[in-house]
Amino acid sequence: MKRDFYVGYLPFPVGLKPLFRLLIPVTLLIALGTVYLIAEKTPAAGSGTWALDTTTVTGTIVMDPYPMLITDDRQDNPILLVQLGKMSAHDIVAPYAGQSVELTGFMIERGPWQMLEIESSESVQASTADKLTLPTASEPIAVSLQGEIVDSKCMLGVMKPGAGKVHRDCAELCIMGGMPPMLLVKNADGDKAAYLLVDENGKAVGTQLLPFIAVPVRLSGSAFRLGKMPVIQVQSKDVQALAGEVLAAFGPSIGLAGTSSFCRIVS
Amino acid sequence: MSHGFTTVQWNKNKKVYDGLLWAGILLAIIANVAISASVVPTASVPSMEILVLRALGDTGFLLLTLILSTGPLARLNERFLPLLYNRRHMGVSFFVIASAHGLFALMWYHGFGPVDPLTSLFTSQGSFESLSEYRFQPLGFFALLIFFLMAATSHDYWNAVLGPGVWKALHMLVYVAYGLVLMHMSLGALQSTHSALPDWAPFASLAVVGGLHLVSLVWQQNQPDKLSGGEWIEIENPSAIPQNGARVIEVGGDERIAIFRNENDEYGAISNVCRHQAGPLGEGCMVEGLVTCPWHGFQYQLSDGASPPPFEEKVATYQMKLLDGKLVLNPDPLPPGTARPLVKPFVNKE
Repeated sequence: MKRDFYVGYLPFPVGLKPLFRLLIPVTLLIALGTVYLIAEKTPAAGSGTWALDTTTVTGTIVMDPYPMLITDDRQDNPILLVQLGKMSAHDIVAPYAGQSVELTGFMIERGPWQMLEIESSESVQASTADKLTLPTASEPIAVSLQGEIVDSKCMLGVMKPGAGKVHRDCAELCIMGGMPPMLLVKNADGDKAAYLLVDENGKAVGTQLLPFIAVPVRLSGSAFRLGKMPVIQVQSKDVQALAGEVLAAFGPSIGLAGTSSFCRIVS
Repeated sequence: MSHGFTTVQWNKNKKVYDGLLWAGILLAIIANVAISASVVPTASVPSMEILVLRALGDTGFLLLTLILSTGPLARLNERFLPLLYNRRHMGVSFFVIASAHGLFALMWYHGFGPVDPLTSLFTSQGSFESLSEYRFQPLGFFALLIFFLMAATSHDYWNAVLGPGVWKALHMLVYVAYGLVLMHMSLGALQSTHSALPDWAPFASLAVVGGLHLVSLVWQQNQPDKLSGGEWIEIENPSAIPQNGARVIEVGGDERIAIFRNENDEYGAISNVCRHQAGPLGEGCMVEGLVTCPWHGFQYQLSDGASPPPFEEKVATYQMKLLDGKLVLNPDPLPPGTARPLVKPFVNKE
């Protein structure tokens, strides 16, 4: 019997053609079926947006706890300011601290949170508009929450998803670069809420939370409201990593009911 | 073969192979992105760069599983040899996909920050002691490094420069890289609730690749006649060896010899190991009077174990003779390329 022996540089053996006419589409179908099984499980990545076009906003620059812009229509809900990439806008806007400016940048938005990404000092123009001030902080209450510490820029819409283990190194760089960290918690309904994190003096929290980024944590601190913005004062000694117990899935928050007035659903 | 090197020795089969391969790769990537984007509400669709990053990773992983499956599949059934012939193109294609995945990840997760991307890759938080905090991205980096070495040395030029032994050892590192990829997935995306990668993916791949290798290994162990004896060893029932085919025997524990029978019913023995990539010559056949390796078609003359001019490869030959009417073989190899008489033990009247 003639052997259908394949040699690459010789004509394809006629006897093998029926097999490969079947094998090629079957292999392709198996590959596409596997692709479907994987892709159809894609989880929603949050409702954050990152505008492709620039926006110009007028308001007053505030530097503490993080660079923010207070505007007429968001006096009680300031716009967080960041730079392109994983860098804080601190150095760009610091010369304008307490002054009225016009800022041009890309709007990042998720739920009630807004953030403006500015490019350089050319994105800032002095303005003659009235100066505005931050609203007074509410009385702090003690809270203990379980959630995940994320960088605000990615979580609010630049990276979707901007949380979880795969995103950990990015979040770390963002926070090293000066992005405001946030605590992301889920309520019993699975809704997510975000809290801005500051240090025990109400200033930028810096890099002290780096070891706890993107892992499940239990965090205790003092929660207060800056206008409508929920903020938690925290020290690294009051953060406990839960990694190893619940992996990257963080459970319902503890004590969220007691802070419901602060809760701002973001997704 | 070794008579000069060109970038790619194109032929029709290679062009068809590469065309189908890349059509499949592009289809898998596009389908992955399209399906992922369509199954979640429009406002919550992951970023396009993340979708592409995932699609590249998924497609690369499927391709790696296929690449590692073709070897044992072709050993178990020679009808699958066409998959093996151009496997290096599949390997280099895989490297392109895996590199794109790696570069995207390095750029998006480690770029644009206060630390340069490679420093960030190796100095970020996490540990190598806790499974839940395991730094999975360096695992992918080292796997990619191995794939780079393999892709860069995939050309026959490097096989000739390094020698088949070193080249083969280098390319066996693919199993180390595969292990690193499985860990990279299991300790990374599989631990994230934000990923679509199912828990079963690495296990399914391991079951296919491991299962085929295990069956192939058992088959190979049982395949050759294991013979021993004195200076001359009897080859029983030589008429069972098909014309233009071979029987592989094993002597001295691990030395494999291919005994071929040509169209004139003459018998000759040569080393079973092809000089190109150590392919099993005895699983090949004689094409136009030449022993032809099943893997890439390298050819040798049965009379002296040398490739026909202008090619220069040579394999060891073995002496055979008739002793009391029986076909016997001397298991001591002759230097590669040594001519010795072929033996015709009987006249086939069929």
